[in-house]
Amino acid sequence: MEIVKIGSMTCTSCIIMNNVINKIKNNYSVEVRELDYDFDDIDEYHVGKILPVIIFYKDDIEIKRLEGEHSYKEIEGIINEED
Amino acid sequence: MKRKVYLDYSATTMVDSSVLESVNEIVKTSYANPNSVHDLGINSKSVIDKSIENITNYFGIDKDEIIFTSGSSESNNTVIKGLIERSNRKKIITTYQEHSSIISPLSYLQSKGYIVEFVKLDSNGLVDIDDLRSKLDSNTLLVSICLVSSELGILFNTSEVFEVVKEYDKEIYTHSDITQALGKVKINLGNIDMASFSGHKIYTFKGIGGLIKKKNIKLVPLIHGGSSTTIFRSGTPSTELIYSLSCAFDLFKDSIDNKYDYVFKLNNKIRCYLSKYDDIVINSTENSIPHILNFSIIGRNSSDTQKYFNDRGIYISTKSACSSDKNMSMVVKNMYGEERAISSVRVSLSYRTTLEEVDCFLEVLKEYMNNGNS
Repeated sequence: MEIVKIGSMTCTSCIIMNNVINKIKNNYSVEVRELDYDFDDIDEYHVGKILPVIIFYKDDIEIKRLEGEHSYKEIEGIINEED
Repeated sequence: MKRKVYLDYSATTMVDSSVLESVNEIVKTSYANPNSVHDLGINSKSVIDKSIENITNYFGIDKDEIIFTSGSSESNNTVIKGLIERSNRKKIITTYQEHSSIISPLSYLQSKGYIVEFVKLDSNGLVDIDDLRSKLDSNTLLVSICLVSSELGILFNTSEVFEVVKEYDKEIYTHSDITQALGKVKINLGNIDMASFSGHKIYTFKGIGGLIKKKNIKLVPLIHGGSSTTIFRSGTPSTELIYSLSCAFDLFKDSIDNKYDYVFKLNNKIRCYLSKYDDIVINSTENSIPHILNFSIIGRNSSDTQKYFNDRGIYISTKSACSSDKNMSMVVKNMYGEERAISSVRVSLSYRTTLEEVDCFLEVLKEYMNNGNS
């Protein structure tokens, strides 16, 4: 599974979700690609109004997308469900 | 002539005409480098010294406890980045209501391995002291909480917060961004080690501000160079900007209470009017200062509302000015949910706002509520 996380340095929810994603990285062997809303080219991800955006891919296909703040348990659930 | 009603004083203020006039004189007469030892340099230095005396007297601090910066963003960055090399501690506690010039450097530090934690707020937006206590530990480097939040205008319980922090551990640094409070409410620095402010919020120029820093605190400067007015921020001191800052303090230092009462009445008038509408909810809390009134018109997009008013010569904002490139207020979202966040606007008042201007705003609001479409 691959996770793409799009955040911004000015966003409080992104700071909170960075903690969650870092914990996921430590506990699961998922590839995490971290992109910055202000600096990276993110057009292809069609980001809406809320940051961060966390997109889950399996075999290069988007299977789930989360916006804003979510718990470690919720993300862990998505990973376990798909593996 | 197109009507022009400025209700965005928390984003920035116009330069006061008396400040401009006084500075005009100084620009002509005190142009020499204040670090030069000739008579003209000494003259410039004396202008700076008098300005420092005026500003530090206001805060009740020593003359060497003020660092002049380009404004609050630089002051906030100086605190956050300047402290980390002085300690092995890795945790910083703050609130989600802080300005982006706090959030962004914290985000940067997080990417370098620092721990950033947001303290919970209660329903009035005040810091939950129990939650704060639970977050303090021997790894805590800094607690940074603004005195007044820029989007909702909440006057935080910083006295209690910083007392709790210092009682827990005197080695934890305390910082407050006082930008939105200065000139509007009385400021007691008490247990605050460092405080940031900007000149452009108090009727002087953009490009000048300050960082109050207690003497014993050793920060690593963002800008290294000569000694300037202090070693903590180098660059030839701008005599005219520092003088203008001092002049701006004169505008409010003896009249804060009267000005506050006047703005309170304006705020009350608007609040009374807003209460007529079931689909308007006020996001500012009972702890908000009257200068900032944030509300949501449910079902109406913030940008559409802002544009409707703009097209009629009334200037309000959708969020704090430094975050208006994103799509909704995360501060409002965190406190009240998405529906209110996407429809929130901020009206910010001043002692210079007239009753006629408030009436004008309310008249346009009535139109907007009645027909709604621009």
